[in-house]
Amino acid sequence: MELRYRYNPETCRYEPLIVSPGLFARQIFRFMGISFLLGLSGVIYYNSQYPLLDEIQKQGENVKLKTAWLVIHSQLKKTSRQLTDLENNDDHNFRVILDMDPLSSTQREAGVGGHEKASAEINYSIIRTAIDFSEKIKNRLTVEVQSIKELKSTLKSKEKQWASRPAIQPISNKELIHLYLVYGERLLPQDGYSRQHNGLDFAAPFKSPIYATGDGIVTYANGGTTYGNVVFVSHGYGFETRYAHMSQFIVSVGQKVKRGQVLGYVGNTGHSFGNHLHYEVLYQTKFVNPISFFQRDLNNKEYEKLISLGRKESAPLD
Amino acid sequence: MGDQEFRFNPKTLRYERVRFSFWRTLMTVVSYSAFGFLFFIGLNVVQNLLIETKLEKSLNAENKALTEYKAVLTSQLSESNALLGRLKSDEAELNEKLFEVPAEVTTVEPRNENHLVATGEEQFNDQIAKINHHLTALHAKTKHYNHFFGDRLHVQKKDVPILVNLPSIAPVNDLLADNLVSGFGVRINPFHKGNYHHDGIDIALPKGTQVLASGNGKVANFSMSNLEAGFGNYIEIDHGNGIFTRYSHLERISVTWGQKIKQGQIIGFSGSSGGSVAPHLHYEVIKNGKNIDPLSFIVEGITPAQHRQLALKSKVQNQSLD
Repeated sequence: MELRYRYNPETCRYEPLIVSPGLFARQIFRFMGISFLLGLSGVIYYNSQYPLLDEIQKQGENVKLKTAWLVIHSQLKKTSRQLTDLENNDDHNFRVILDMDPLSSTQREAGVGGHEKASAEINYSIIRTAIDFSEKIKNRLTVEVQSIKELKSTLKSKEKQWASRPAIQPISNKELIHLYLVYGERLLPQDGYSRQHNGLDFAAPFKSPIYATGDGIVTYANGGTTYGNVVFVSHGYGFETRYAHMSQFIVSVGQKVKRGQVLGYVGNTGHSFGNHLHYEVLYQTKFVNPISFFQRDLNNKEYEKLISLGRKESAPLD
Repeated sequence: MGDQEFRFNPKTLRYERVRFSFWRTLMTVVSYSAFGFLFFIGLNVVQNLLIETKLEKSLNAENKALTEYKAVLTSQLSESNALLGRLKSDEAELNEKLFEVPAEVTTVEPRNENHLVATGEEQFNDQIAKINHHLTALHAKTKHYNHFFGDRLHVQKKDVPILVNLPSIAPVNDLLADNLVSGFGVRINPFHKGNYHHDGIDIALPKGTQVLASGNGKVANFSMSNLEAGFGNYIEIDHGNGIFTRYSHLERISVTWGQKIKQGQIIGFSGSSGGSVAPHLHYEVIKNGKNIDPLSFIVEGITPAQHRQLALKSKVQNQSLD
């Protein structure tokens, strides 16, 4: 670097400028100071116009997390929707059919208030909402589990009731020769007295199987002069069926029978003129027309299926 | 003048005043800027690393909370979903026991509507062509049906009394697909589990729900029976022109013989009398002595979408309630 000079009026000479350490330090200090101020003003200006870099980074993270949170929220919504479907099916279908009262909305959302307090300390509404939502779903699920349990136990007793009702023909259509629809007819007083005919007569070949028409317990199995060999089955719920004029019965008193189980075989015992089954149905100890208690549009194949079902189920009970 | 600077020019052998130099100034500016920039970067780094701003603090806290509670929520969600899955299988089991058919899938997953965007141009054009084709077919069909219904909708004066008396509304308020539990056709008998022809529709109703007359007419017959078989307490209404409706398994009947009935009038209350396994209304429409599907009569007070839902539900070959 070439030398610089300064005119000294006292000596009237040009004197070279000598950079002393002090001056140099001052110059450096001035330079640095100005640079620093420049930099500082730059920072201040930049920060006033643009967000901080690490703020941007944190913000990015925040957005990512919130998106993930939204995904979870939508999953929660889906779960809630499915649960609502289930609750609706429960209330509008199962509970109506099983003759139970639908759960009220207060019952369904029982205990939600307590959990809201737990989440109250969270400052972020997005988290609070989701946590509350999830808690609500959990509570509803607990209620629904209880409800389904209840439904299951009610259904079990109802199923027993449905299975107990006399609902099939005691003689298969395959063996049936003729069904005498003689309920309520007055019998001619051939024997010196007249009586009401309280059942239906199924004419069938000797030794054709006679099936229990519903689940129940054998209350009477004996021979007699009018009914002949007869079996009484009590089905509970007010129903009793009687199967008369059997050639032979193969069940004993107190035995549990299933629908479709063979009770005995067609015969001509007691007050009977020809091989037939005399079938009676009693509801609350009164005779009713058995015709109401079976469907005649069952074809042979279907009937066989029903009978085999009864046989299969009866096996472990014997 | 003392701070004026000079320099020695060896060519002229004179001291010359240092004048303003562009390059010198530029150099000064550049060096100031460079160091200023260095300071700028340094200060920024210091600020980012050491100083936590208010916003940063709140963001940090929020991010931490979000991460923390995300784990909590995810575990809760998976727990809930597992429980829901178990409940669903329970529900299917109940459904199977009650109706002898597994539960139909009620939730329709939203279709992925973005898949077309993702495919190439060729597939896109393909799809457009398909849609076009479909539209043309629909257009032709619509035209055909328009013609068909146009013919039939031309009501003549002699048809009016018949149409007025048709049992055209549902026999209950707010008939939903949820309530319709068994339709018309071959169904499973709930008592003996064999197939039989179900002559009406079964609408599950809580005991004591109002039952409405579905059309104008006259009470042709009603019967009370406490026998647990048959129709139980039922009402038959004569709508004229050989059309009858029957409302069975009622709990209470509030009409008498020969009474004139207006459409929508309350005629009784539903129950579970007669051969019924559950509280419901068994509704039949009989035309000239033959049972026909009552759903085809229910046209008023119901949207086409609801009717379609009902029709779909009634097609399920399940177990009836009587």
